[in-house]
Amino acid sequence: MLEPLVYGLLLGGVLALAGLGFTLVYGVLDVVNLAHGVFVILGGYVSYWLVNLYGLNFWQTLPISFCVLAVFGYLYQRLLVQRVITEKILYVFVLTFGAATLFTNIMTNLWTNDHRSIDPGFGGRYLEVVGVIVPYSRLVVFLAALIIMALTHLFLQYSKMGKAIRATRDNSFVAALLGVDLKHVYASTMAIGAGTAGLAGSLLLAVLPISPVMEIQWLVYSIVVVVVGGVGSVIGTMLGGLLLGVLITATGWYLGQGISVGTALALFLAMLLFRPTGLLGIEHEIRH
Amino acid sequence: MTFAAGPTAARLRRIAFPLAILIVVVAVLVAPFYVSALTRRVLSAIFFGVTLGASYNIIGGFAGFPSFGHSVFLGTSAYTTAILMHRYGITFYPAWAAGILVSLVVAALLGIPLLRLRGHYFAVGTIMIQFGLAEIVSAVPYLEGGRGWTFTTGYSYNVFYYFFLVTAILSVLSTWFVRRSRFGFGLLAINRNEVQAQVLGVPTAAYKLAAFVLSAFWIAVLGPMYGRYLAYIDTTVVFSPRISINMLLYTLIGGMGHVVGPVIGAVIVETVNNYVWARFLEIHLIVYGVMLILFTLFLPRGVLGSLHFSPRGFALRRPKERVVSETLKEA
Amino acid sequence: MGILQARGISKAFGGLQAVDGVDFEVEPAEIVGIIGPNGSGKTTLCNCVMGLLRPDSGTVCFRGQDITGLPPYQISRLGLRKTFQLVHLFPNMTVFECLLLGQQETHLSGFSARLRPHSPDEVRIAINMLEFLGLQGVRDHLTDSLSYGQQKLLEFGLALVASPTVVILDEPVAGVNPTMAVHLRDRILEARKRGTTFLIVEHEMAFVMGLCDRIVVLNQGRKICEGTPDQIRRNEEVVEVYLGV
Repeated sequence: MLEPLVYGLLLGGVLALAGLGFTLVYGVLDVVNLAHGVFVILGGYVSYWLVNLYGLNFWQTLPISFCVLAVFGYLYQRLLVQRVITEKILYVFVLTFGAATLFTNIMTNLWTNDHRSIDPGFGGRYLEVVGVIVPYSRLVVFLAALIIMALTHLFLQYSKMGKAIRATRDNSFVAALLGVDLKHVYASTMAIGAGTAGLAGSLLLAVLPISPVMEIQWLVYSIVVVVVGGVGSVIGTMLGGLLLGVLITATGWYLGQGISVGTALALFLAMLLFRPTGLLGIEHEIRH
Repeated sequence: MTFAAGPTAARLRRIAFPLAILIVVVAVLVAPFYVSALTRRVLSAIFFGVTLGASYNIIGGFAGFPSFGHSVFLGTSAYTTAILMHRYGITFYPAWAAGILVSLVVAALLGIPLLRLRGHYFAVGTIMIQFGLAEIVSAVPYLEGGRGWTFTTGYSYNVFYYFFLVTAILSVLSTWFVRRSRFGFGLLAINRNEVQAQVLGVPTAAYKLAAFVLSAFWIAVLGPMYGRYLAYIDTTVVFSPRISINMLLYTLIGGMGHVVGPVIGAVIVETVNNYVWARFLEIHLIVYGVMLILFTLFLPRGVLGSLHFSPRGFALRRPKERVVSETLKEA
Repeated sequence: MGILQARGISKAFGGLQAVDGVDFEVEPAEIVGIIGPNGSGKTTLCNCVMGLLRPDSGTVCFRGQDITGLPPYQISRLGLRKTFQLVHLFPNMTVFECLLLGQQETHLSGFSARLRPHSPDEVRIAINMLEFLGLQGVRDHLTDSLSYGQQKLLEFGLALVASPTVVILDEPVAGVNPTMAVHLRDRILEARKRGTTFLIVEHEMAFVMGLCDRIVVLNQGRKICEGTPDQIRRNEEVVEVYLGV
């Protein structure tokens, strides 16, 4: 009975990390990036190939995964999304959807839909917590996710770029007047969003097999995590991730796999009906 | 720069245009007897697309609420019909009617919470409905019946051709009818400035819901017949995200909010899709993705939205240009 | 009892009390002005009256009926309309189309009427309004291509085209050139002659003083006084509030 709870909470760490990038991009750029799931899966693949082709230790691949995805995200924003950011939001949706289709299918063509996994190197060791068997890998992945989220938060609070990003999020007009290079900030935000999503994917690889077909699933999860937690709130995203993690794991446990997206949908609808501002966050105002 | 301007051109246009329409109409009517099976299939796909696009146009184009999940109405009616036929022995036609009804009810139920959402949230909500509903249906044995449902096709492909053609015509006519009504006007106003529309007396919530339900109608009509056409349905076929996105594309490429937009859009998209699918199967989704990207970057207003027609001819309207509308009599 | 009556309207946003217990009353065919420094709550008050915001407390009565908290479209159909401070028109629609839209919901009931196109009567009313406003020349121009003053004028016309009983004008001449301001003033007086009542929120003192029968003064969400233009001009508190002396 406690298994789904514990596993769900642990998975929740990765879900929260995936959602973090999404909410950051949405909060600062006002962009719903439908290619977000691609960033997650791509990050996982970067780690996978680094481990399998170059024999790197899994944990060494994390910084590389972040960097690769960050650069990818930066270019993606600067060259593509930036051009439609001023138009109707529909165009951003279609553009990011097109990009998602494009990248997912390139991945499928290059690497097939086969599921990939790696061994994170704990030799199957586990702990026993409240009678539940917790593999080291899951626990460490959870802690890693927390640490990354904390680091991101610190970055946003104290670094120069972090302050520029927060200023832009609060009032892009005034930020621009104060000399902030908006396009650069937007692209950097997308870079962080992509990078953290990539890290989520890499961590995911350590506990579950991944494949390009999971891209949509992770987009949906990121969206729900953000809706549950509230846009713009790091703690909220964490809570959202934990809640979703427990729900998906529980329904998977008792009702069988294959209903996870449906569960996420149900949670999404429930949140919208009863608490549209999220558990903690403030609803992002749609500017006229 | 204006194309086809000048008196000779004007005379030619007066004859050529109606003549061209007549030729196209006749060709389309007799096509099944003269063209290859492949062409007939592509034409059927085009008409199918026209119906989807014309329906979608009401909520997506006129009212400006872009739904990314409209294929659920195709799926709901198809599945309802299948379930009634296979589990309860009801014959096709009554089951078809029931399927349409169920789809409309579902549209109303979904529309009520969804339409309260603004902008991003609405679109994301429809995405969630698309994926979530598909998954729920395939996970519930009563609904999915194992691995989808089969249909007896029963009619020749020519009959389906004409069926799709007729629904295409009817759906475009419906859209035209809505467009010129006060209701359609109200939808356009809601699209452009919902608050101002409210202050001018437009009951926006009711209009939006009506638009949402109406936009599901012809889609629901297609569902069961589509099932018969394919002889088999499952959630990937009728609750398909690609069909949802395609609907959006037909209107976007043709010109959103224009009655004829989906026609042009469906012709373009389906021709390209079928050509690429036939020749380059592996990369066809890649091409699709690239097409979407290029399109939003360079021609977001669609074909009809980027051209400007006036009594003197037509010109390419640059996106940010302020242009006087067509009804102005030129001096 | 007046045709429009607000009692004890209060509205707060977060910690800020935007409107604090304001009462006012408007008699038929009056032109009443609401003035006050920036942030005194004038627009918030009017948005509460129009149903765009829900007041925390207080009631609004229109023609004897309690309309507090009703949705704006219902209030509009009862005969009360409002314009916006920042011009709030429909992009990509022509002036003529806007005027058709502005009146279409007035006498409709039931869905079937709405499925029909606009009637010749509605067309006639739109044409008359064009003449009334003096915008015949831009009849088929898109609203985006109008000058700012013309847009303000159209916004005014949209409110008026359904023959409402009371119109709330929110800063009708803000940023408008003097010629257009005079034209608007003239049109307001003409509309009043035909029976429309006006409630005008404005900053432009000369405009308000020269037009309104009565003026209500707000400061920091509260009504500080009320009276004829002469009375207001001589009131010490008002002078202090505006000049900070």
